[in-house]
Amino acid sequence: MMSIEELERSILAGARQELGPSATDRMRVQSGLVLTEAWWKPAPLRHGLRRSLRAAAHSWRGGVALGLAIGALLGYGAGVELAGVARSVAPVAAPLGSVASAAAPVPPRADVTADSLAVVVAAPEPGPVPAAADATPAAVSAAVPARASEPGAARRAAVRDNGSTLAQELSLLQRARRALNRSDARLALGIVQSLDERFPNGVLMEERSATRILSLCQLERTEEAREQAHRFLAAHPRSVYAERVRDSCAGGQ
Amino acid sequence: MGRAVTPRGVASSPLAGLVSEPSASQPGELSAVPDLATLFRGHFDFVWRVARSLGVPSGALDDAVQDVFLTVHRRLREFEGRSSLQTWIYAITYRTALNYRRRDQRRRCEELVEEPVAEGPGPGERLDRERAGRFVMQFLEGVSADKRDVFVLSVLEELTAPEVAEILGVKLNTVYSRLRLVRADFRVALETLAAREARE
Repeated sequence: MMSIEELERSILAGARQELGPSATDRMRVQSGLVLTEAWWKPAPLRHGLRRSLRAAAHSWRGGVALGLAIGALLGYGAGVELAGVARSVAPVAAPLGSVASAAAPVPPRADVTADSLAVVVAAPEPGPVPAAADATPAAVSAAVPARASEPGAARRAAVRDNGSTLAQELSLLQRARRALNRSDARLALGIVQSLDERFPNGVLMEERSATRILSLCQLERTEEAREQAHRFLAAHPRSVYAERVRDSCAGGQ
Repeated sequence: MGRAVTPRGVASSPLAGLVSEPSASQPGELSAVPDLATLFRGHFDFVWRVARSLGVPSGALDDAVQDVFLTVHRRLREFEGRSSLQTWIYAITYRTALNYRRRDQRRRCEELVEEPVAEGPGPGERLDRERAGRFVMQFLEGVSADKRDVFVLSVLEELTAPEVAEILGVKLNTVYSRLRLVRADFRVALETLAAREARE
């Protein structure tokens, strides 16, 4: 028989866990916040440090935010269907199916090396990426055709792999974003190109396009960035990334 | 006052790991404060738990928590560092929860109240999380708002009495007094629960 003190400790410990949010709660609240303007604003700065403000204005938090939102869906909600993902982020990323041609892929350049892409696949980075999104893309994608080639398994495999495909796409996109934040635009652009090849009809095309444009800006490939931005803004004038793109080198003049 | 608070699941340093990228500051300069995404990552769990425990109706919990983060983000410039960032967020959470409580005086956690605690297995390992949460929520529903606030912050969140006084805007002795009373109430509730389950 428990003493009252033991019972109290047990109940309080249980209540602390129980009264906390579930993964679904987190996903729902975060999805709501992602739709607010504040989520996409650079952090307010103290003491009017304009230099930092400029740096922040060109940083890539938008990708972080949506990546986290989607990552939360993938990482915490094991039972969340892909359609649920699309619904939750639809106001941000919609129309998901029609964005593939918004920004044409940029031709690969010699400065994006095979080595840099190899790093993407071989070396998962630490960070707040949910476990599902950190699955090694190469390993997962390599397994897909094998499963699909089995008699009668193709359709089941396709359904089953919807989530993992999105996870791979998200994982790569997050790495591109992190590379961009580290001012490693070459790697970021290389990852985007890898995404173009592996997921030509991906779900996160708006995010990919914006990442491409910001990468090009960072590489001072302004003309290409402007061309991409022109297409992007024409296709998605109300995109949550539109302001960031307009603020970039591609939006000037 | 001002001691760094370490809520459950939150880094001990007020701004540890929360300063936004990129950091272009010089030594001695604090150039950036957490952006909304970073704040959310670091504080969502306890903001949710506190808002819920303080009696925000379940149907309004999402809105309340979102309000907290938007308020925190909007007012970050006003944060002067006199208390820890967490204490400051606790205070905003408390005031937000208060507003939501006032908006819905008929608040009830319907799904929790409908299920009597006495049903189901007894204490010990069988007293699982769900039942513990239900028991505490029922208890909180039965005490006054003043006691409830102190219980949530002092007992559930384990903040110090000075921190609770700061958040609630009351005198330290008031906190101690309410804490003593609500702890006594809680003990009675526990004894009742234990006795009931001993009979089963």
